[in-house]
Amino acid sequence: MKPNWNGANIESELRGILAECCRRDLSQVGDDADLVRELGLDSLAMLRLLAEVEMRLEVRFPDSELTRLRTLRQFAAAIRSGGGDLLPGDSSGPSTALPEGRTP
Amino acid sequence: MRIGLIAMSGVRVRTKELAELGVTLPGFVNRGRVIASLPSLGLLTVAALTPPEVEVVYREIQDVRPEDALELFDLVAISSFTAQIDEAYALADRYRAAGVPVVLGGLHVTLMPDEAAAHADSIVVNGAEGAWPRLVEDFRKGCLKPRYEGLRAGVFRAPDYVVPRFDLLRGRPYNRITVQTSRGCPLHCEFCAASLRITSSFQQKPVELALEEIRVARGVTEHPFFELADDNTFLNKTWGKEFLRGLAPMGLSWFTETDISVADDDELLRLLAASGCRQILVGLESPTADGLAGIDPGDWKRRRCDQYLRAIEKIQSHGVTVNGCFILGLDSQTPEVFPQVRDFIQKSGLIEAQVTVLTPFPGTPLYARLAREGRLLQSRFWDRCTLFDVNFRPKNMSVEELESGMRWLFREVYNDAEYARRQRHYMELVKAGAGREDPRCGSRL
Repeated sequence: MKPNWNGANIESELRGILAECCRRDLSQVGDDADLVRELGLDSLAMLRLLAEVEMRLEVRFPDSELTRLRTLRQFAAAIRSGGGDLLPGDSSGPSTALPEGRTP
Repeated sequence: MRIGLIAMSGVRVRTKELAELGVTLPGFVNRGRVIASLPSLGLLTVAALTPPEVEVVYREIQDVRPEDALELFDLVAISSFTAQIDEAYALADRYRAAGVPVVLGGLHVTLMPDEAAAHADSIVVNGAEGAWPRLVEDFRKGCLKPRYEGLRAGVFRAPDYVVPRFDLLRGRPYNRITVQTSRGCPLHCEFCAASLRITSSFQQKPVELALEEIRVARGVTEHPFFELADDNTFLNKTWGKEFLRGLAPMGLSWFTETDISVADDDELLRLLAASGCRQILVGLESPTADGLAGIDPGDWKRRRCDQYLRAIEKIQSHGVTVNGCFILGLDSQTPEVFPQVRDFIQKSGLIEAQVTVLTPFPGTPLYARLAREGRLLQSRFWDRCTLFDVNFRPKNMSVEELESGMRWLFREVYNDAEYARRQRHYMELVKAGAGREDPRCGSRL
């Protein structure tokens, strides 16, 4: 059964994931801190974090929002607005964007 | 004695329309900003070659505002790439007018020494190793020579090898630090204006020295992202594996440039991922074998072209993303190349793509050939050597077709929807790799 994140303390969950991935003390990093500016995460690191959140919380952020998400509070808002549900067509397998044609 | 080291940095587009288009292109602009914000490894090396009793001050051109009074030194050394060399010359002229002797060095100066000498009291050609200590000594004695030749071989051997003065970057807002593990590349692509032009052959830094530099460099800034300032890091796979085994315990994230042959070696790919390599930049140059004819003397890239798709997929499946580079305007390309590049990028699943126009940098075999064939639009166009400005007549299309085709391709490749598609693809690759033995492939940022 999929988790329902409505009303849950998502920020706390997200902070735990971030701390584990960053392997550093996040006590000074607030929910509104810009993770790119405050933690020096580059664009690929941000995407890895989003992927980790999607896996652990069983959610999927809209593709059009990926660039916009920069703070834990924005992550949480996106999850709440999506109700924690997986989007149609989502799976835990490889992306549908994988190349269609393969060379031998 | 006090020596000022001034780095010219920055990436610009001269064409107004491209500049305006570029503002909306996330990948393009991001990479440009990254390049623009890298410190000058060459000048940090010059600082390390300076006798310890001499004070060195590292500045970037942004620190030297035209409206401010010049910060005076006993001697100034300026290093610049081609696109900003005229600004470097102007600054050099300003310092000389103020009575401060100027030394010019770097790739452009090496390739165009006579031109540079007109703006300097002395020039250094090739690398600074083997030249700078003699220059400083001569300057102290009051007998500075007009030209010094640095080493073209043996640059990573004692007594000429030094660890760059990374400590000079302390307190500056860098989040990327460059370290060099090699100089040169045996492919000798006709257009290349990188370090192969200042070396007699491929030079590889011993593994222990490369690792020690990284240990030193990581101490100057918090959680740095490393960029290896190499032309082709993993030519030697045996060296590469030893280097990666040493790098893995450091817990770094890093980027480098290499060729597509890394995909041949599964063990190397596993080690790349485990060592924190986030992206490799690979010069694919053209999506079809025909387009690659004659790029390198051995036709190596043309022979590799039919393996591109499979190789990209294999590298990225290990959690290491590929930034694929394409060049527009190669002699064998026709206007068909523009949709071909777009289709290849979409089909390949490349996480990032860098599309530039063929640029005849002065001093390269390409410049000499195009000049011989009467195809250069002007003989001197250094400020247009931006990789986005057309400076020659293409063989199988007009200048206008190349310019408009490039703009069309930019819009096709760098729009928000395509960017989001590539981002999603990367996230799914991360998820697919999360179950691997090495947790770094998945969760570590």
